[in-house]
Amino acid sequence: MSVVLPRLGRALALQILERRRDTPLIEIADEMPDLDPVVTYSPVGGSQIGRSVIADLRAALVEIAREHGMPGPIVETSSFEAKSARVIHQRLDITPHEAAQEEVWSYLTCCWLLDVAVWRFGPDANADRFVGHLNRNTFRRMWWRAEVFGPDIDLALLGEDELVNIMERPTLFSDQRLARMIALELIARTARGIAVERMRLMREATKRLLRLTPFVAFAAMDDRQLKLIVSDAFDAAASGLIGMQAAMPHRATEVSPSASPEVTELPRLEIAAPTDEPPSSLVESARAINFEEVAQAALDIAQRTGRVTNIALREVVQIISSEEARDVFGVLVERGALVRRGVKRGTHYVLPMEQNGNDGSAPSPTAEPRRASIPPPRQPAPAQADAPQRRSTDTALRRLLRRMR
Amino acid sequence: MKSPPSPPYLLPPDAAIAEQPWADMDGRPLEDRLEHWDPFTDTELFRVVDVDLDSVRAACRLNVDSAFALGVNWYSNRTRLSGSGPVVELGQLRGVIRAPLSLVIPGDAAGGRISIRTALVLRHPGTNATPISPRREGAILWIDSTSVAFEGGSARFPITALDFTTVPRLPDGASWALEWDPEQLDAPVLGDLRLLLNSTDEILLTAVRSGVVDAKSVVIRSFVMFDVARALVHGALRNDRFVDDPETFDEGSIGRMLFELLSMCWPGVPIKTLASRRHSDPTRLEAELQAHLGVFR
Repeated sequence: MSVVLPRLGRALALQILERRRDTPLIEIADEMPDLDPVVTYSPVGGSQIGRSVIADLRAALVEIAREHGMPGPIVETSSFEAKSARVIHQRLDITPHEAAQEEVWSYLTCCWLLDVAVWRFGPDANADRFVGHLNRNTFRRMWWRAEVFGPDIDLALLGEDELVNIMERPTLFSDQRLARMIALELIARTARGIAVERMRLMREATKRLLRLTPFVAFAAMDDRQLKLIVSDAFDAAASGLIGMQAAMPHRATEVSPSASPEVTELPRLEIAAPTDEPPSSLVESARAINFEEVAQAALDIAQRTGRVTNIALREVVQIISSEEARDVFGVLVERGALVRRGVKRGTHYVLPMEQNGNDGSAPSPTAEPRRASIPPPRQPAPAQADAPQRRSTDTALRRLLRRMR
Repeated sequence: MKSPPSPPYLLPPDAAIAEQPWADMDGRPLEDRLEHWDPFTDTELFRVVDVDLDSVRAACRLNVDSAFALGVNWYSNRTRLSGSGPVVELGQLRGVIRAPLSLVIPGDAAGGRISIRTALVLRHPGTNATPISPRREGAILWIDSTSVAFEGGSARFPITALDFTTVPRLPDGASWALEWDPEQLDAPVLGDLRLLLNSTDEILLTAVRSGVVDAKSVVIRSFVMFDVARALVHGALRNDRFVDDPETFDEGSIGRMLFELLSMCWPGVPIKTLASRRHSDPTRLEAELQAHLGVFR
């Protein structure tokens, strides 16, 4: 099970930073860890992280930092960043939800790793490098890079600007599959020697993909299609960099997939519509389908149980929506076949007094039910003249249930 | 927003698509806020969408061999991660179709405000699509967005589930334990107070999960809550410093929380009176606490 980390409030983090950032690096290192500040934890979550786990993490990061020049000038920055990102991600068994808390990273940076952060960015760096800023905190950004790009992408092969191009654009990195494909495309082009001006290429390609996001659902594409569209964006960007105009082609699969088995076709039956106005769309005509049968089902439910609700009607007539059921009730109320009771979620419909034992209560279950019937519309629709004759012994409820079997 | 902003292609009318609201697996409609959400609970949602494909094709000037799909995805503004549900292929069906859509939002990657988008997308333009028809695979033809806040606004009691067999000082068979030090009342509630739940006790875990409303769970939850409150009340009233000056503790501290708890259960009754009652008439004190918390009711 994942763990939760201590959390350090922003004000306390800034106090620690102001107290320590101007002292020599070796003194900051001597003060690590600082276990004095008052910390909190997530109110819900896994076990609290053991102190030894953070101590091991610190030891590993300090070792990597020393390999890359600490306390002197940093060497091979990309390598330091990549190795540190892997170590932080592997050793901190936290969820993305926990890793999205600023105070967690403020604690790790200011109470355990301040010397490493000050060495990496210098004592005069913006405070966001030390408090848990979502894009700037020294270690938070490392953890998230490892999380988003996964274990199969060598982060050292991507420059800082290239990583930022993705990681500071939530529209791109929120879809981890897309983020990884962009990174892999750049790495592959670099390996093939066709990524001229790679930093600009990355910027231009990501811009092109961003421009598509309002109109294209990347999440609905399969891997092959997504890879093609990412490749197209890089091709277009590369053409643009050498002064050629190139539009991204409109890709489409060669064979369109067949319908998923859970999709059902709604029946089209033309019996009667509650009004004589033509339907404005085919969905609306489907709504008019079987109107009289659905209406009769509503009346049957009311007759048998004393009341009928929107949900009860939809349980019996499963092909109608909530809005359609409401329409049916509206027409029946207008015709005087039902009376509306209650409001909002308590809304239900009962038969008028004269049809319902004169007191509006539910009929006795032992009594022979008298069948409620639909009064004709006040202004009969012409289509009703063509409605087929119903068997008088069969209720609409039974017919609908039979049809659904 | 029902339609994408100024797309460079034709769109179907809104009337061609009729969507039912999102609901949980028990059929309860999704509300604006999930009060009882926690990051260790996945959220499963379901909805039904009807599409008049003939109308879509007519409006977009697409041939009958064009194909479509419905997709759904979520985005968390807390983690800035997104995910998607299974794509439902509509293929080359004609007429009005009904498609059930499902979505699982993993708790560990979510939080904050969640945007849920349902989209009708082009899968294949078919033959003879016009220049102003949608032609790119994945082109969004219709979109419906819903937003819901994960993480309720109400304060939460700190809870951790862990396997008691890994904690030597706790018996394996115990179900819960309140971890705190009644002498450390200046410590933050979210730092030094925690209800530990034995993760091997599935019945307990189910019962304390917020939002579970079956009778058995309600009883178990009620009893655990009473037991915790009882421990806190007795701990507070045993602490002389707290009894002497209960209002000096900072916001967010355990001392402040205890003062608020006692003030809520015994409004207007001085803390010293309660401490005295704990010695002189503990039965009454316990019964009053039961009455306030409504144990088993």
